[in-house]
Amino acid sequence: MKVPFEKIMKVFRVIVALGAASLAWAQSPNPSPKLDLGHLAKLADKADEVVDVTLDGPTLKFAEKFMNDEDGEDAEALQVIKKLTGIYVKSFEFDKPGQYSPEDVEAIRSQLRGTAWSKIVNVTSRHDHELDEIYLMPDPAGKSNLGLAIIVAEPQELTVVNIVGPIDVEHLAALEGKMGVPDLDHKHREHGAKHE
Amino acid sequence: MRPLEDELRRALRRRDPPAAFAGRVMARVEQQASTRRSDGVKPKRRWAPWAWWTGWGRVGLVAVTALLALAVSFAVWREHRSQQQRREGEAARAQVMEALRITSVKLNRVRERVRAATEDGGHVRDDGSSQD
Repeated sequence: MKVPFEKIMKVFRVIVALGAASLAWAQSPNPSPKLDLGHLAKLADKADEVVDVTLDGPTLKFAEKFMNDEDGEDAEALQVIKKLTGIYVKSFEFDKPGQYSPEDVEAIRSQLRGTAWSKIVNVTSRHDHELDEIYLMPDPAGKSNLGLAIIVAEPQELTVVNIVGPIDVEHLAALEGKMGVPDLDHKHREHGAKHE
Repeated sequence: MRPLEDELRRALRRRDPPAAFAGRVMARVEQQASTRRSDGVKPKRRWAPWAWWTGWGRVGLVAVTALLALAVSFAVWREHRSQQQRREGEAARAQVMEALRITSVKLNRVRERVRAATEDGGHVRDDGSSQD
């Protein structure tokens, strides 16, 4: 039986295409929910107030040992962090605007582009020169999230939060006002209302 | 009384020992010592309050002191390490609380802005984003 040359070439092309696709998939970098925030370190010198929290997996586990699951605040926090493998927070408050550049923010946003992260909230205020974005990295298995990123950029404040691990955003948001700290958002709203 | 005094003086007057007396005494001492050695009887020592400080007593005391010093050092090191770990743990816990507080505050602030933008006539995109 004589197999036509065209047919052989067709099969060959399919094999080559499949091989190339699998090679490209294998070589594509595995997206990590941990962001590189190292470039923000330089802002610490210009900032009036700096909060820099770096908690990797072992440190979180270590902190868990010193949290009392019968204490209200600690129990709430334990619920949130027990499956996390990293919490990274960089928050800078400046005494005047223009202390950080748009490139500083863009360097973070560029890491959040692509298919791995989903932008779930984006608030841009041209009037107030504010940018708020919330990203989630969904688990391909669809069970939970693999990470969370929050960017809050205001003229005199820049905050970046990166949480690595399955996170319940609703639970996290509900912590405010519960953990022995005042509901700052509520205060902020009151403050804003007075100004208006 | 005179004759008695004379007699006493005569009896107590200093007299040199015979010429071989010292030699006989030394010979007797040597003989007794050799007899004790051959019988296996140790000569009795006089008790002295510092006697324990010699030989094994000294070694034992040094060993006990060293062990005590080691035990005390270990206990101090362990307590110091425990305190250090407690401090580090409390610091880590405080960092967790601070991180969660900031995250929670920012999440709610963004949520509030979305709500305010929606109420003020701003539009919210399908993906939840909003623009003033």
